[in-house]
Amino acid sequence: VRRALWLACACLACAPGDPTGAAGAFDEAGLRAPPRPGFEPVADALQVTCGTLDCHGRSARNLRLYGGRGLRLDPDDNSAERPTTRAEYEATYWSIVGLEPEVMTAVVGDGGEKPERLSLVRKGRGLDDHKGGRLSKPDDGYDRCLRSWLAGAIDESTCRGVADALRPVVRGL
Amino acid sequence: VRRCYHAIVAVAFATAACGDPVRDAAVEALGPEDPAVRPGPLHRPGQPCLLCHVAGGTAGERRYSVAGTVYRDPDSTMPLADVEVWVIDSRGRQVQARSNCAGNFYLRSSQFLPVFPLWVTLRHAGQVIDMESPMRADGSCATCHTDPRAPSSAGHVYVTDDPMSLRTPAMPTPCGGTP
Repeated sequence: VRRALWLACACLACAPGDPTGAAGAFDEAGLRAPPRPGFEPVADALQVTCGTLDCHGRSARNLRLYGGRGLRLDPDDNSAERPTTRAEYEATYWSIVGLEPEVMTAVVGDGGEKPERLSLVRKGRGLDDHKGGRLSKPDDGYDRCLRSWLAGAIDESTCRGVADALRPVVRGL
Repeated sequence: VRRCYHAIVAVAFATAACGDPVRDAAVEALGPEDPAVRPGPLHRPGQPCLLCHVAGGTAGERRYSVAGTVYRDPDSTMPLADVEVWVIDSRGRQVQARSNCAGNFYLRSSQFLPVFPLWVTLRHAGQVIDMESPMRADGSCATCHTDPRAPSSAGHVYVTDDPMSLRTPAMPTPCGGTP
């Protein structure tokens, strides 16, 4: 029932209009989530690390990440133009928060301690089977960015550093 | 008769167990070969090569790790030959492929087995263009680069935003049957 409620919240968040209705619904269910305000740099870090079109930027995935460099929310939009929209940040937020709502509630309730309880963290660290392999290790930039959000104090500069990380330079060009 | 029946059932199960129904459906959706192009390096431009050119695929004897098709510019579906495709993986290993007259290029798995993510840069006639996002899991360009541009596609791979900047003439590359 809780999961269904969360999914309903996610749908509400994707719908045009005031998304605070979703927040209100999960509060009533006694569930907790990391902060939505200031989430944008976290989403940007996730987009470049996990949300490319060949990974979680695919509509076939249960964890879908939306954004300007990947899957677009607006059916008239495309993956080559225009930056991430507010609605896409909103949809990405609910996509992550609604993945394991009870576990997320426990992690947030513990101030972000033991984040590896979340599949999102375990898969990223390569502790669970993950087609994308190991993307992070404890205390690297991506991991610190994610943990800071789960703890309720977003490390914006670290998240931006992950999102804006320079690509390797091709030698000989 | 029973023995024969059991043999048929066993073969049917063995065949079914080896298949990947998702991949099979994706291959089926690509449609048949173009009768004007024999199967080979020039065939099926713009399609996701690694659907077949992987272990267990219908062209698994020629496995690729990265493969795709390069076009001239975002608005043109004119393939571009002789484009250098530079690929660098997360361990810093870099290799180069070159597009043929169909715009196709490929890196054999025996030649380059990368550790994802990968970054790609194209160079042609003085133009250098970097792919903005890394490739995270799939070496087929056309998994994400299909036409038309859409919510889950960045459109085809191209060399320049400004076709006037290319010195090569704006006409199809002749494909005489040899890449």
